[in-house]
Amino acid sequence: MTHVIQVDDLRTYIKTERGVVKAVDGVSFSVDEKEVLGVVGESGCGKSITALSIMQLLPDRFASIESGSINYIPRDGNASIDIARLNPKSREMRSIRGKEISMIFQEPMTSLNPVYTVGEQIIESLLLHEKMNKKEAMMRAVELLKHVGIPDPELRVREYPHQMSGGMRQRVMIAIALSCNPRFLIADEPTTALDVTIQAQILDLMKRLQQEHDMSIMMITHNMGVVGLMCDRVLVMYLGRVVEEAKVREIFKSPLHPYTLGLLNSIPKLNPKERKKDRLIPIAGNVPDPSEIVTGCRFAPRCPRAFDKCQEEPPLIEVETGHKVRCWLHE
Amino acid sequence: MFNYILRRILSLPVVILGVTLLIFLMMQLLSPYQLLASYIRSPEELKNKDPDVLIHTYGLDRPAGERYVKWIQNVIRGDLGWSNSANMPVKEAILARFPATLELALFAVIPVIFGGILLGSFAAMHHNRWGDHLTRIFAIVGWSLPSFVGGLLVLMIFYGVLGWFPPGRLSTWAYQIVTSDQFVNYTGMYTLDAILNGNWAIFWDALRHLIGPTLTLAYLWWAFIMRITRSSMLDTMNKDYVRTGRSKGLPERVVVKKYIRSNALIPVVTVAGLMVLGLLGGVVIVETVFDFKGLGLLTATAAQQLDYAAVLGTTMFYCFLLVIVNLIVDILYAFVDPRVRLE
Repeated sequence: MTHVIQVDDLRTYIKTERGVVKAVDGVSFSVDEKEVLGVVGESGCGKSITALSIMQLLPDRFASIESGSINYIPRDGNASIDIARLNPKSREMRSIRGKEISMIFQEPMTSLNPVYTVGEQIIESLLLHEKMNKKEAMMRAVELLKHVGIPDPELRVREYPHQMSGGMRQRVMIAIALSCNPRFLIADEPTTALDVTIQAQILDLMKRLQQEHDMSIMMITHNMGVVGLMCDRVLVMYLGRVVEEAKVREIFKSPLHPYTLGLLNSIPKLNPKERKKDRLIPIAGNVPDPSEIVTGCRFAPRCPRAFDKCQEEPPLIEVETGHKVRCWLHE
Repeated sequence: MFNYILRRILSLPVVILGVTLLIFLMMQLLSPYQLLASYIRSPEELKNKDPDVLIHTYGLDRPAGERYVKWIQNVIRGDLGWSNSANMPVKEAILARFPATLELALFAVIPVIFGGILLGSFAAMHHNRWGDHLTRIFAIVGWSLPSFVGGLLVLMIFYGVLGWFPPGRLSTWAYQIVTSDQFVNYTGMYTLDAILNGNWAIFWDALRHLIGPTLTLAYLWWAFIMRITRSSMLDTMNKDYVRTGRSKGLPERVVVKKYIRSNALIPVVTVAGLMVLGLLGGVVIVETVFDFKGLGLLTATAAQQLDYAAVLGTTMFYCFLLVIVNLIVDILYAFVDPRVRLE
């Protein structure tokens, strides 16, 4: 398997009034071709900042990549490009964004430009990256809308975002993201803001498109159900660090990190027998303020199984091939 | 779009009815003797006549409803009475002065709006850096400077020292040509009329006289448009769809133009409309400083001399302008914001 993206020891810091927050603090992972990688964790764990680092879309005055590398491996076997070294506004970075790597955002209601029709917004990428003329691009836009399951695409292409529902808008966002056949798609909680029934439709659509286009996806979510449905492999993040990495099957069968266990226990069970046995067990406490991190295992203050050794921060230990965990319990 | 505009136009009569009722209500504060000036056609009518007879002739002793209908009929016909201060019928006074005001407003509006938007986006793009600070200082100074000071400074530098932009509307030689038979006054706006007559000497002369007041007004109003544009751009900059635009790989220039500025312009249209209205109503101080005889001077003089007919007439005219400008702003809204169009 060849990698599409290889992130090594990425550190992205955010400057706030109270000091520097290490939002992403030494994260390493890779995504294989045609693989769907899930990234889970509560809000504030650095999932979105990791994604925005890869896209070089960080709000430039507050956040920046301090060190580490993000290697993108192009399709035709060309030498890999270290995105972390590129200037976010450079031509080189812009030719990757939208063309090689695309992104779908959490809020479909606010992610489309209200003063242009959806057609105009889809053809923007086509005109930019595919060197099409306007007429060809419009025809392609109609095809794309049809492809993402929008009825009457010939009419819808001329509509404005406010004429569409949230689910429709997210489909349009997907159409925009897929317009230039990207190799790698980052989806930042693409279904969180949608109704449950619409969520299922959108996930279904993404799964189908991933297989049709042979895309790799990095799926950011805090929903373990979405992980089970969509992903091949999972990265569990806590306070800017990877705490567990495993194949999806492994994560559900034998979760090793107490935090992963906590996340799984907070999913309501549908099976009535199971439900009677164990109640929902929430993780105690909240994600602490990242600017106040001291030393030791970052999860220790909330961990039910913390012991003396947790004063020291554990390394990422490979328990089995492909299953790594950052916890002293599995030394 | 068409439906939207049609609906706006259909609502106009209602607005106008409300406005006229309001003015009529305020007119009730005046005695019939004071109102008489709004009804007569020339001061000759008053000679050797008992005012009470005239009041009866014009129905000023009739019930309110009857008086309102009669007054509206007069207004529609353009019979606004005799202006003592201008020494001519009110209608003629307005028609003589309004072209000057309109010409000045049109000349001022273009640099103010475009310059203001450019300054505003420049400041927003350099938020909290030197470019932003300097732009804001420049604009705030203009806004804080009273126009009688700004106008006098302009006059002193560009007329007194440099001799470029003289006061008045035309030079004496040009005025003689304009009032002669060979020159056709199509609009009363000298620059436009000069072009229509093909007389370039007059055009340049009229233009030279316009630059001083235009400059004064522009410097005054830049801050107004600039500040709204700046804050609206800063607001828009952090919107999710701007990030979407960047995620497509669009160059920053396109992101600013299509994603930030086109959305930030919506509130600018509103304040620009208000500003145009203010300019069309006449700018008394600038007109005085530059001896530029427009509607503002007419109204101010009339008010000073207790010329009720002219005050009422210009008020009526101003309300009419207000309704028209608001309609234009509403239509412009639909052009900048598709959400308005389809409601």
